[in-house]
Amino acid sequence: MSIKIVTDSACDVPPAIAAELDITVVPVYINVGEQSYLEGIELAREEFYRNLAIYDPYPTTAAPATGAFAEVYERLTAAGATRILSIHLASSLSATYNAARLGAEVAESAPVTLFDTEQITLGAGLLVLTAAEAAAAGCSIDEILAMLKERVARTRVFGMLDTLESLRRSGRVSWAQFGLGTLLQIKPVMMIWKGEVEVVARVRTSKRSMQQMLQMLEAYSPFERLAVIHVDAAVSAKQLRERAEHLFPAGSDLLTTEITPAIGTHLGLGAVGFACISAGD
Amino acid sequence: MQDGIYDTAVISPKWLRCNGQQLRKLAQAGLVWLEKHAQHVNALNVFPVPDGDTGTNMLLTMRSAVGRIQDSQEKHVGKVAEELAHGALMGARGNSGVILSQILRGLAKGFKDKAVIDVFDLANAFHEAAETAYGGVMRPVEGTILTVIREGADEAADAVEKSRDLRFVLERILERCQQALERTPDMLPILKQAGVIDSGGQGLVYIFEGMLRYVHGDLREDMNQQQSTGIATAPAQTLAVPEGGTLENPYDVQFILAGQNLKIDEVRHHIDAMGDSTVVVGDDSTIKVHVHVQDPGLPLSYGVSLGVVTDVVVENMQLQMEDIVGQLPAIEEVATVEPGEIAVVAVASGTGLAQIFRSLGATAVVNGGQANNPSTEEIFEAIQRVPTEKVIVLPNNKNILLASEAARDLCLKEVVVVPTRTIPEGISAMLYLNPNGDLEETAAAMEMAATFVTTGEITRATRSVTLDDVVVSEGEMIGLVNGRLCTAGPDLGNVLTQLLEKMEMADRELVSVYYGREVTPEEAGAVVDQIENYYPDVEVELLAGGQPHYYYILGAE
Repeated sequence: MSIKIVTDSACDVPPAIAAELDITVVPVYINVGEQSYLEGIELAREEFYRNLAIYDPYPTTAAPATGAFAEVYERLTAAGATRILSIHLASSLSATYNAARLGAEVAESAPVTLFDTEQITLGAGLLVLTAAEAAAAGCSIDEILAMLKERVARTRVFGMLDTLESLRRSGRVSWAQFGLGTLLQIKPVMMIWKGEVEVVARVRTSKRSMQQMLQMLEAYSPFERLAVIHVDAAVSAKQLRERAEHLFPAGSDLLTTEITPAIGTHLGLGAVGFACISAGD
Repeated sequence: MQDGIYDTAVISPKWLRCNGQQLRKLAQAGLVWLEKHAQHVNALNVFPVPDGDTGTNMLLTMRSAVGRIQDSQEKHVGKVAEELAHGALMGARGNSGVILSQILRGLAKGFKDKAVIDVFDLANAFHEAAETAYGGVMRPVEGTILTVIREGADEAADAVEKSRDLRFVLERILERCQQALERTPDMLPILKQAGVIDSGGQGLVYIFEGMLRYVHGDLREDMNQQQSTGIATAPAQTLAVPEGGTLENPYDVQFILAGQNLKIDEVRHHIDAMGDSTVVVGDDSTIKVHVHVQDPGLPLSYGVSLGVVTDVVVENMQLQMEDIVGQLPAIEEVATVEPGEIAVVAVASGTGLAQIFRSLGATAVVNGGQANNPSTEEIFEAIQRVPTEKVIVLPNNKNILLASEAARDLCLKEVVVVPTRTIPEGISAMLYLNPNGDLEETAAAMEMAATFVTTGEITRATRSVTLDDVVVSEGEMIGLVNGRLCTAGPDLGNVLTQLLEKMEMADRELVSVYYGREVTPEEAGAVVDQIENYYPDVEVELLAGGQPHYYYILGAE
């Protein structure tokens, strides 16, 4: 009995951990001008972010091809996987889940089960880690699925944006919906929960947005898993991690991850935040 | 005239009963006398900022009240009082206007179901008026219009023990109110400091004084004239927008000409040749002139050639019109709000400020602010128009708070007034609007958010005064922090420097500069440069507020 875990690169599982836990990561595409790059393979995050401000037109992102998923599923099956658990970005926010679903239909013989994390970046990634650890510990596919399902409602991603420019340029957000306006400098704090993006605070200064975010995070403590995420903002991320140190579960490594360009293009440089799974009852 | 019957009754030696028509006349007389003295009331402003509009606010409130009964034939005094109270309630603007409307409401309560009233009814109604007035404010302060009406009510209760003559009781009430007014500076230190008596109290005394003058046979002519010329002198609100947006005769000129053997037809003919919208009324010794002209000097010089010219009012209607047109419609609706969600009705003047509020999710912006307080009715209507039952009102000015609360009390909707005192406070509060949240919780969060920001304002002093150790000369630049006068001087740069210091700019992260209508973008840019030079660590954001009177409004966090 061998359960293999598959995910996409926008779930932000760090490559070292993916290798260690035998997680297969399917890269998403980043389109810069007329060029399309496989994220993490053909395009390094640092390089991408360094140039983000000067890319014109603004980069876009695309889900992996159906065929890429089919190929991975078939390869894993051929290598002896008895079950494949493919865990992805929120289907409400990204086409990746659907591409994986179609890929599973193409790879007819592969025993694929799909799971919609209803999350983005490491919010999805922490669920992937939960699944991979459970698989390594010998849990059955049903047990793992039950664990994931139960955790979705406890999983949240918080992010404070330094600039609204990227969100604006990426064209992904309805301004009226978020009431962010276009006239004033506003630093929103966003929360992603169960497949929906919500602006949970609108403030004028970074100091206050960090305060607000920490306050909100604290309201969901204690945590089973907690990680700091950022878009090309290692210094702010370090600061945030220090201020939230007491919230990290005992004995856990203080995971800090740079957010995938697939999501970072929308959030903009300087965004920092948390991905977390609250402790269960 | 038919009115004569009632006039005779009023001035008869013993006046024992007052009916609805007499009350109507009294109210009209109060309005006329207040009209004559509204500018004086405006001048009794503690702060030398252009919000000295207590007189205007009370006048507009009183006009709205009397407007309901202007042509009424109703003889039932309770019904007339009810109409007056209703008119005042709908037209109430500014804190003093709202308190005046409360006083009229109290009187109406006392007169309810009475076809005629006697002195006991009057005393009772004054008691109700004082009670209702105090009930209209959250924290009653002595040394204000409240003290004046309360003492008037005390006196009424006392006077009815001595006489059944309404005239006697009214005289005693007026006398006592005047005495209370004189003592207001002893009760309220800020008045003493500014060397003025309370403006709202003064407005009320003028109304009572007008009534008594009428009882004594005065004001008849003014009251008739008021009816005939009232519309011609109405504010520019009624102006149609001409083709091309330019008025042929942009200056509205009004004055009173006193002389001997004046030939009114000749004067009218001459004045009419100078422009349009001519109104020339009066007799051979006093003529009131109103005309729209290209050159305001012409009618004035002509007037001076015939006699003594007084009460000169010259207004530039072109600017007023641009104001109004620029801000039309008064209530603009934008962001969609779904039934069940929370809508925000914000008060702001200036197209830029209105846009900012809308961009942050305000559903309706009521045009108004400093020196232009919207009425209870305007706020009420905005609340009524938003398609949801939950509404938060942001007055953004301490003088609009009571009108907002009065509007709230008129509504069947769930309305919470978040007491923002300045534009930056309102903007700060807007950021905490959660349309899907719990109304009370959201309002509490917004109120808390308003405290995050420190407001600085720069305007021009409307008079000379020494207040809180700041010496101000009329016409100088003055700076206010959170509504308190803190600096003054002839030079904008210096006033700004002082203001920034008082705003503790060195500890701030961000300052938003909203520049007013009288300021060019270049001038505003220079102010931004100055702030950036002094405080290189502070981020400066420049926005076109378009507000009148205030050159700059600053919000610092």
